[in-house]
Amino acid sequence: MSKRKRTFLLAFALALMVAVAAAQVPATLAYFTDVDRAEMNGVVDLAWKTEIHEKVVDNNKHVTIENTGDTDVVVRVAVYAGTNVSVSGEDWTSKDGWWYYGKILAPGETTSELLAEVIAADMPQTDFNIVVVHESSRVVYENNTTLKKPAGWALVPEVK
Amino acid sequence: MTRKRSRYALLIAAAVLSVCLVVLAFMIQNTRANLLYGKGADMDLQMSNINVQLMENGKALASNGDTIQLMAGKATSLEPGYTYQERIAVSNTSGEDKSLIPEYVRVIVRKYWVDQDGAKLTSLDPDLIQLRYNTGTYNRQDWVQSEKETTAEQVVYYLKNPLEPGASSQELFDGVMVDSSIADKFTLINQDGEVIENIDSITASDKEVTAKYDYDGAQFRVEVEVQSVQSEHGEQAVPSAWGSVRVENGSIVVE
Repeated sequence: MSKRKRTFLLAFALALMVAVAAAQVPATLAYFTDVDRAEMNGVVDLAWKTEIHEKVVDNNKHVTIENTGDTDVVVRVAVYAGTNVSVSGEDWTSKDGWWYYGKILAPGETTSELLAEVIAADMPQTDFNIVVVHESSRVVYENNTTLKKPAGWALVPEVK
Repeated sequence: MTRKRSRYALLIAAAVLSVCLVVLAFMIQNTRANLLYGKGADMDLQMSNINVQLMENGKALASNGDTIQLMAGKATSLEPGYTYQERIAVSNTSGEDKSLIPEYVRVIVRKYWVDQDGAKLTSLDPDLIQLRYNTGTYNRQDWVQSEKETTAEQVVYYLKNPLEPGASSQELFDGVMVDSSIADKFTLINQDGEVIENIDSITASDKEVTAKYDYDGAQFRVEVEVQSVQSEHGEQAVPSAWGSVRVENGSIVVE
């Protein structure tokens, strides 16, 4: 074989080796991808505020509670008075010394009236007090159909 | 031509030839990818398209350039303990686009509390922000959670099998809720600003006791991001794109 031919064959062999070696490197895959995004912004408002309104008419007390805050609340009232006072109210249920309002009170709403009435026949001859205390708590859910009871409360309204 | 020159000429020719051969080898490999996407009998080399969309409550979310807002227009002040319906799924659709390809999908969910200026509040617990699926018949057997990539703030879910063009996935979750225990986290402070351990340790000197809620007024953010990778050559594409997962027998396996 002539020298020229030999050189050429050598070069060709080398080229082939390089090509084969290069082909072994896996091709860089330009794969397809896509992305989509969304976000949610939420607030938890834990504050609440209620105000009691008491009207005294003919020695009887008419009590209502108003929700003056921005969140739903539950309310209860205790009436401290002598045995000659009878307490009643639509949507109010008595349990263990407290009167529980049977509905969730939305912002701006006022409860129905709780009436503390002195039984006429037992009207006392001296001054007397009817002390009314109210408590309220922000609505917290146990699950979507039940409210969580605030600590020490016996009743909570049903979720409608 | 002298011997030396002819030798150089030969070497240059050899170099050129080898370069040509290398290029040819690469071309053969790459063209293979496109040919496999041809559909039907025509085998026209149509450019393929990949698309993945988030679906909220059964409807695809459309972006107009801004970040898509979930629960847009609804009350975003959440009642503690109440689960708000928020069904999140993903779909491989894009109108009438016929060139969509099957894809592997994963969803990254990040949730955290922020202050008024949008800065992250790391002292508040992201676990209180809960993305749920209602108990009962629902179960997420199409999805798998990656424990390795999950932190307090971030959860990553993989759809086990590829999403075919036109298909929607099983819902990843269907409700969002702030845990009710959030209302139990407060600090009692008296009129002098001193902290009171608990209700039982209130003394006569605490004339005014205020309960300061740890989370009152706190805002939270939930980010949902869906990513997709072509399912073709998934054994290479998926680990390349997403790292700690691999594809076995066509299904994603989480490490």
